[in-house]
Amino acid sequence: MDKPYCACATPPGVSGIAVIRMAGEGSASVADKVIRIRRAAGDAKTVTEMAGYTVAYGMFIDPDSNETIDEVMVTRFCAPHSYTGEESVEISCHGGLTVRQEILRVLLENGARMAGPGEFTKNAFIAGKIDLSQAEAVMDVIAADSELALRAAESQLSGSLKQQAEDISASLFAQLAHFELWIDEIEDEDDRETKANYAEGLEKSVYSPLKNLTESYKQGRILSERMRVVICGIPNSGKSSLLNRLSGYDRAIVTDVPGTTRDTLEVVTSIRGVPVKLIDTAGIRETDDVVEAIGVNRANAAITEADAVLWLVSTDEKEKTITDLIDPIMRLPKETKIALLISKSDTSDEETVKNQEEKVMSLISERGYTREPDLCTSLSSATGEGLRKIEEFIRSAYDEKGASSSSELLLTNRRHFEVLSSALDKVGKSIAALRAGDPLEGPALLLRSALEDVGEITGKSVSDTLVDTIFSRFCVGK
Amino acid sequence: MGNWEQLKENKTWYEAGTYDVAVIGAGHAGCEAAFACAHLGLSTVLFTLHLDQLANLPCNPSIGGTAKGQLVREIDALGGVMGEMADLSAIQTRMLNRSKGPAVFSPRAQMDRAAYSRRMKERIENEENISLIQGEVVELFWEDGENRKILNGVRTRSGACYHIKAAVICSGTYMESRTIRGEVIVESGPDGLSRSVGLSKSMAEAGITMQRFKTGTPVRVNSRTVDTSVMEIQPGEPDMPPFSFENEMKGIVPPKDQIPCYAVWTTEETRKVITENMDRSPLYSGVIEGIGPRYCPSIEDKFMRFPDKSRHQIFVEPMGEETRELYLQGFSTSLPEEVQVQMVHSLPGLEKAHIQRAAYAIEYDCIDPTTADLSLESTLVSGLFTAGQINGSSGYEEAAAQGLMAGINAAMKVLGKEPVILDRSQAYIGVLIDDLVTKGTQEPYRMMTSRAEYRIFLRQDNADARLTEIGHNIGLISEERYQAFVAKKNAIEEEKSRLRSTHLPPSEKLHRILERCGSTLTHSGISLSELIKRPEIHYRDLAPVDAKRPNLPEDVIFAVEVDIKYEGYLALEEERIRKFASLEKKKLSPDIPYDQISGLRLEARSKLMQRKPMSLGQASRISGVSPADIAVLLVYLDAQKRQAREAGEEQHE
Repeated sequence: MDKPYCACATPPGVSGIAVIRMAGEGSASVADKVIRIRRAAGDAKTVTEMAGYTVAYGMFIDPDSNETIDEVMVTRFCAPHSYTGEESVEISCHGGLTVRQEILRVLLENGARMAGPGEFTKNAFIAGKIDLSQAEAVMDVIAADSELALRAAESQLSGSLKQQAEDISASLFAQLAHFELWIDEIEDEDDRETKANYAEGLEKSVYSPLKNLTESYKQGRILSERMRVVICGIPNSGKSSLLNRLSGYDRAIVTDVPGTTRDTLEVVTSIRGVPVKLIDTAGIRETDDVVEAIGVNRANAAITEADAVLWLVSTDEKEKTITDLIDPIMRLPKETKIALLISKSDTSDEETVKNQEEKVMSLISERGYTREPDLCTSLSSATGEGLRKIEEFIRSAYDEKGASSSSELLLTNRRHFEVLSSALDKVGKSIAALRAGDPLEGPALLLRSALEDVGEITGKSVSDTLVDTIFSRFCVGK
Repeated sequence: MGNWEQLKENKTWYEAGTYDVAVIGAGHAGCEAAFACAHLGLSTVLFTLHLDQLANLPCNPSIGGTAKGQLVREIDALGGVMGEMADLSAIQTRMLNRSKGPAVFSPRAQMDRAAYSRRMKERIENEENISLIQGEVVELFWEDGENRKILNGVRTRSGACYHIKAAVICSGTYMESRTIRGEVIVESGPDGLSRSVGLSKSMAEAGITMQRFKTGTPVRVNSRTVDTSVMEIQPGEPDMPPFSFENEMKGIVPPKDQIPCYAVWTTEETRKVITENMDRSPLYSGVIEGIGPRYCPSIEDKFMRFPDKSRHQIFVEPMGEETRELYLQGFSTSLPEEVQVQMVHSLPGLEKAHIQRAAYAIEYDCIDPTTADLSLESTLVSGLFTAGQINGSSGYEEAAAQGLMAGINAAMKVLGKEPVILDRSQAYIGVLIDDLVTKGTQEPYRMMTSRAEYRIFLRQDNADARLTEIGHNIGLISEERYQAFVAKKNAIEEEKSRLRSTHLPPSEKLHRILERCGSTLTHSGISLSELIKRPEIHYRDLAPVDAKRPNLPEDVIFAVEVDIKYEGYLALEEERIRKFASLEKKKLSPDIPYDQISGLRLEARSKLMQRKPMSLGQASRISGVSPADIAVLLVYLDAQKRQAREAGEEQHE
């Protein structure tokens, strides 16, 4: 049975809401693995239980980490009454690149595959859902879609990523050509040493680079490995507004989850192309002193794990609470960047802001810190003043961490990740089989299949060139 | 020319008879084609240039080998004759690739060349539906049909004209051929035999694109003048099973008493002689126009192209029991005769060797195989089939495989039945024919296991499982043989299920076996099947702990073991085959107006119009047709289907 296929149904770019569509037999059971329904008609507990044409509200989670990715609305369609005539599920999530990609990633990891160019349209047509008179239009859509996909793939395969994929493909190819030559042309010899050498060559020239490439993909995508940006400050200092402004920059709010272990609020987004997890230290609440002390401790914990800190001080904040945060923040290592943000109330003027900034700076130096915040600026979440500087600050903090040099290697296309993971698995098995001394034809099959996988990225077909390679590189023949 | 009407002006012609099928050429392709037609009840005329040279082995005296052995087994499973004849004429047998895994195990047998040819002649002469005639076909006749010409006759040089419904041309290397040794060029077929003149021109007149290929053969020396004691001996394996499933059933096995082959290496002197005379090589001086095979290069080619390899291996093989001729495999050349003498004398043990036949290169006409469809029928002339070297292939086995399929399909055509087409996941034969007609070839095409995408599945041991049923349905496999096959298939399945369900408790006996095999011990129960899955344990090893083991024949045990050990690989292969088959199942009619389909790119339109692929899968393998084009075609097909359905519904209303 073919896997259900999925893709984003709404156009790329800025939008309030995006729709991810998944169709094919088994769509609902894939959805069940990743959606926890909170409210649904007829008390349905799972997507499978939902009646056709009903909508449910729930949480989209990554079952591996149990992290919530977004709150979503799910619409269930049963065959044959759907767009493509197949069982299907539509997931409405918040707009923005990151959430869409995260949802697609999780769907792919849980049994779906990426839809081919124009596949929904094509299947809708085949199912008779689109009028016959539109057949030509459908064919044009497919042709255009493929063209688009090709161009997108090409632009993604730019620079060093392209080089890497092609290098891996070339090494894989060279290895396979060796195997094939051995199988077809070399007279009988069971040579364990040769196999061990092959295994080592594969490991070095194919497996490791392939693993790095797939890892680089994961790094960019897995929530816990994002850049952690902690927003701290007392209540009413404007943290929530800042959080909303930052995450709303590309309308990429993914989730507001009250942390289960900490009373912090985490939002996943991307800022200037940097994958970010914004952490609001919401634990510090206006309570009596004892409880507040606990809150401060929690904030401190979040701060120590931060990659960058956005420290909000309102114009009317008192010396006592400012001082409370100086130690945990200024003690951070130099690699962790600090931004001091003087948040304006509607009434405060330039001079008030300046005075407050100077007060904080002198408090810092009074406590003996030679380090200063990496950025000092005023902020108005109402007018957007200072936001640009903050975004630039995050971007440059990210760059300085050396992440951007590898960010080019981050695969943005899920399909690429899918095929690379599959290829990696097969190359790994091939190495194991060689080390176990298995006959060469088994590892050769695995390599061929892996090469077919990688070929979906590089667009090179295996059979056409394999024999040519053998002939041109080796002295073949009786 | 080309039609019966114009003949009347020609004095040298007469009505010679009417046949269902004419097979032109009685080499390995022609013999299979003729047998297939005859066995299917068609009246068949088989033309040969040389009645004493049927099924000749003008190059290496062996049948089988890597990928070729698989082809022979497949031919046999479908009801062809090559395997049966080879078993009878074998003087040495071996299984190649033993260490590389069961999928590439390849049987090969050295042939007694004269005996093979003699036996084939005898068998053809005894075949009721075949008229064997020595004669040179020089012209084809056709009439104009709706979309293409329709073949209806042939004429021989002596003027004999035959009415026919179909023809299979298997001209080997004989069409307009010439042999080359240095500066000496002779208009001749192989082995100094006369060539075919005129047929190639007639085919070109019918509109078929012709091309020119080149191949070659090494020297033959007299064994009396050779010292084999300084050579590495290569003995046979006398206990090999036969090529033929039919022979296996009847208990006919290769001879126990086998003649050895030998191996030597070229010397520094060999290299020197060749290098000094390179300017006299017709390959490098430009005399040879035809394109030669890269996989079977001449010895001078090997030295020129791979200068870092200081020496090359040469095999010395007997040509038969009643001759002293030895074949020097790997020593093919087109250098002048006097240089060949020096080259041979530079080899250890051959210092005084007496050359009986000199090596030569041969050029010949063949067709562009992309003008044929997957049934091997021409897309330009209805009823005209081609098989073997004329399609750009090389090798006896490749030729026989095509001959069998072309013969079957010529018969199907005459009988008004659907053609028999094997796909790439069913047989090497399918890979071979698909490669030739879909991709074409720029050099003589040899089968290699690396050409088969589904190699783990296309094994020599399971050729019967893959193809006997098909052969039986065609009508080339006897009921007796089919029943024997079904019994074998059932035995394999029963034994596999018995092994799966037999669990062994840990025991002293089992531990001893595991230890001896170097396997890890088990402390809980384990099934026999799981034990056999381990690479280091074989079916035989477990006999002491397998009390209820039935007494099974060797081939059943082999199949059971492969199926169990390769379970994982076979599952991956099946998945790949499923993916492949989904496009292969979607058939394309030859009438599709590709040039009018919106969404197809220009290159795809023209390639598809020209090739007229039979399935979407075949279309996807044509260079210049992209995945997007295939998706567009998919939609087109469905649109057609719906249109037809809706039209049907309207009629009902």
